[in-house]
Amino acid sequence: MNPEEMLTKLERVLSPQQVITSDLCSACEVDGRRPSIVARPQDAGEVGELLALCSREGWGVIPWGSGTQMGIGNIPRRYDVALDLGALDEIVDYDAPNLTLTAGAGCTLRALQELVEGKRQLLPLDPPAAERATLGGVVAANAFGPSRLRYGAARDIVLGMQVALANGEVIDVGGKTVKNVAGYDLTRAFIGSYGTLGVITRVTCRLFPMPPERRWMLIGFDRAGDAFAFVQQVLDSVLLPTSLDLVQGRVVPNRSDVSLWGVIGLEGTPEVIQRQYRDLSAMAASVQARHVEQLADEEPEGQQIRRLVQDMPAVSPEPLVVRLYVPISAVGSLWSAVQHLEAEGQASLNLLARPGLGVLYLMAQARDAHLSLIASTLQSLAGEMGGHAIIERIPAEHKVHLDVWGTPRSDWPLMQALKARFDPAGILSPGRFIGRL
Amino acid sequence: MPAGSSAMIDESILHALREIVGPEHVLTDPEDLLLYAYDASIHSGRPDVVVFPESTEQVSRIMALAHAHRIPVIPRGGGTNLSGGSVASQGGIVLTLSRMTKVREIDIPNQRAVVEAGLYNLALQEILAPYGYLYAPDPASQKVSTLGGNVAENAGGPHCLKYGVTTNHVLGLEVVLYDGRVIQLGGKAFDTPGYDLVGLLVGSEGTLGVVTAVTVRLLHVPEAIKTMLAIFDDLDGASQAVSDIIAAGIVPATLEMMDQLMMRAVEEATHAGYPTDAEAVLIIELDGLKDGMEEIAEQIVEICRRNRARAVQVARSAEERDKLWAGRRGAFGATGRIKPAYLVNDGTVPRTALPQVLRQVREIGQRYGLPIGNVFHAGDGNLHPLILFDPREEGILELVERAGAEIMRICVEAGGTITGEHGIGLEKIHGMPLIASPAAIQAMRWVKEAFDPIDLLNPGKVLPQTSVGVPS
Repeated sequence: MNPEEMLTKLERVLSPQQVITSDLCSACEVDGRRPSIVARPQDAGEVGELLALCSREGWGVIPWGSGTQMGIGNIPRRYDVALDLGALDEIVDYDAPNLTLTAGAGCTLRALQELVEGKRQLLPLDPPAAERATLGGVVAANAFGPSRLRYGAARDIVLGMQVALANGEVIDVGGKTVKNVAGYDLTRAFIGSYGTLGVITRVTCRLFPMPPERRWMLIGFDRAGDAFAFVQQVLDSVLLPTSLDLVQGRVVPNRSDVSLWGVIGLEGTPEVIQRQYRDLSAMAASVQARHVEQLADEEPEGQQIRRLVQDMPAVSPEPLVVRLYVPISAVGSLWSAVQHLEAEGQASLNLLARPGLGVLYLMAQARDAHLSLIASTLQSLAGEMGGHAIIERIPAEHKVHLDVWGTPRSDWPLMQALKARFDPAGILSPGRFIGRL
Repeated sequence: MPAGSSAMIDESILHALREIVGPEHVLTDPEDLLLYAYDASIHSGRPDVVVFPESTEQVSRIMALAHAHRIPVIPRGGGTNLSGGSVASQGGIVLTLSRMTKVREIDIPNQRAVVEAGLYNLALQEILAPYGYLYAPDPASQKVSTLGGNVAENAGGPHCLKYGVTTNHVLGLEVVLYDGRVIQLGGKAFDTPGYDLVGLLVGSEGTLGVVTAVTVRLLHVPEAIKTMLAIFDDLDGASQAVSDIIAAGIVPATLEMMDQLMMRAVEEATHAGYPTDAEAVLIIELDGLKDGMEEIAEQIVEICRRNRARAVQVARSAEERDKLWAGRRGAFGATGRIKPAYLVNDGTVPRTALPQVLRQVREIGQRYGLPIGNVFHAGDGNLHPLILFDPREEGILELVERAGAEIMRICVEAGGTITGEHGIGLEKIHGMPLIASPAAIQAMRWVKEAFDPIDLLNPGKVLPQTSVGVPS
């Protein structure tokens, strides 16, 4: 449909200044597809009306936060409207005594975190590119970072939300209490649904008290085997680090003389931090780790380390980024297995492991023609080890034959049935999810 | 023909069921059926037949049979449901999973266990203890409630304040669908691609599928535990202390409250050591690393004192701690010493609303002339007012239900919800519109239709006025 005609219909729903047809559309490209229109509704009601219109017209609509996760997904089957949620940036209810926060989907995580930090509270979501990421986007993508080890992911932190459905209805699901079993847990269904089931317009999160102190611990290992032996000791212990990441030695600036770095987040009272530091140091010594160091969170170096492990999957320049999941004890074997790719000269790799979560990020530089093969090899490898792999980034032409979510499993017919009911016209991020739903 | 009327189950179907599970595992005697007509709620409904499969394959064949003949199936674990979710309100087959108790795998290196749905929660804890691990959700009924039932209700428990509820600890499910298909959802690894169907199944009260096995996350037994009993002469002081503890940035493992009526019942039944002359107590438990725990405990004592606590006692031994918990876990049962029956409400409110809501609950009890005891998860604002009554008194049930409905309403008005962990079942089905708009209920119906398009599984539960029905 030509943009003029679309505009006429849209302006019955949104005011003209909220609809953009100009070159700005290029900023909302997805896999090389450009929308005809960018719409910026002012509230959830307008989002609903817009979705109802798209359903009637059969227009493909893709919700946008700040775009930090938009590389994840298959090529859209149809893409007419980019739905910019940036105007939904209201703080609806910050209930500090009850440790809950309800805010519009378009609020940036950064703004919300600054708000709650003012009351010594914590919204413990630390996905890549958290500077720009929006609350709605993080929740829609179930995006997470290092501190998932202690606090869980959006799936564990989000208590409720407001969602605009494809039929135009705006519904509230969940609530603001941690315990709530009134009806089906639709909140969980929308988390990680990547804008294919409904459009999240508002989110209620659980908050946590700000720990009295936070520190970082850096441990250098000469061999991957030593690092994973150390990790196994940590996970088998009663210690509770906030995060536990492993990166290759060369990625830490000015400290490239070891093979791997362990980056460990510690928090709590000074007694708890010191106890953990002591025990972790002893465990490191038992595997002949070469270097043990403690950094305060406020120091520039502490900040640098935090950002390095948090942002790596987003900022690394490689054309292929894969997030692999396996049972936690298999991360060490997975780390060795993927290195064959490098040994065989197929690719040069950058790796980030979160062993306590069973997660390994692989960022690869390789000849373009090889990227699909490497990606599908990784999907099979993770599958053989009892997990799966999501291709977070790959040039769009490779997605034509590759499902970035992997092969659908026995639960896929149910997903198809859900999608058919929530989005009968197939307008919400069409084709982008698993099995090209 | 109404769904599930006994006319649907003829001799040929009973024969087929006996073929599947063996004749000794099919109950049809009226006395037996009566036993399975109840759960722990005030509701009842007689099934036409009760079957006890011992494998997923048998469950699958039973579902295929039920599907072919359009017979409702009510999955059942330990029958401890508090909202009528496991009674056969429309007749049909009660599918009891109590024989499916195998531990398929204890996988310590991966901190996971895969167990069948009929295993008791406490049995799992006992199996894990020698490894130094535990499964965090610990409903008070854990001795007699099953993992499958816990999944169906998204069960909580005292320790959920710190560790979250069932949905935060279940990673995978084996599910038999309405037509007998067996599917795997999730697994040992996080974030299986696609919609979070595990998240939808947890808390679906047996209406979306029959859960036959569960993959759970295991946590380390904490290094140190400190259990305290704070004694108050007024309820307001106790509930304010709850708010203040959380506001001070402390996240105890548990923060439970019990009022005088409940303590009296508990003391008569178990002699746990509760002070029956006090208005209320808080059972506060800290866990984690031993370092610095003493200082946090002192902070808590100080907060309780500030809120007029008469005394704060620390459990000096594991036995003392176990006694306190035995009393707490046995509290519902102990009310039998006051009245033979109870209706337990399960409303959950933001915890700062506790003092006000507790006053309103008391006022409702006085107005209806019904004794109401409180024993509940104060830290998460999850109330359990128990309305005590004798069902032999004429007209009492209606009064009790009206009082229960009022309590639900005040919880919603205080910014909370009508059920925190016991489920909607039959009991709260009329309360659903208080917290879910017609459009939200319609969205829930889409979920039901996607999983069970002919409304075969636990029909008539959770969703009011279900539009989908068994085709006649």
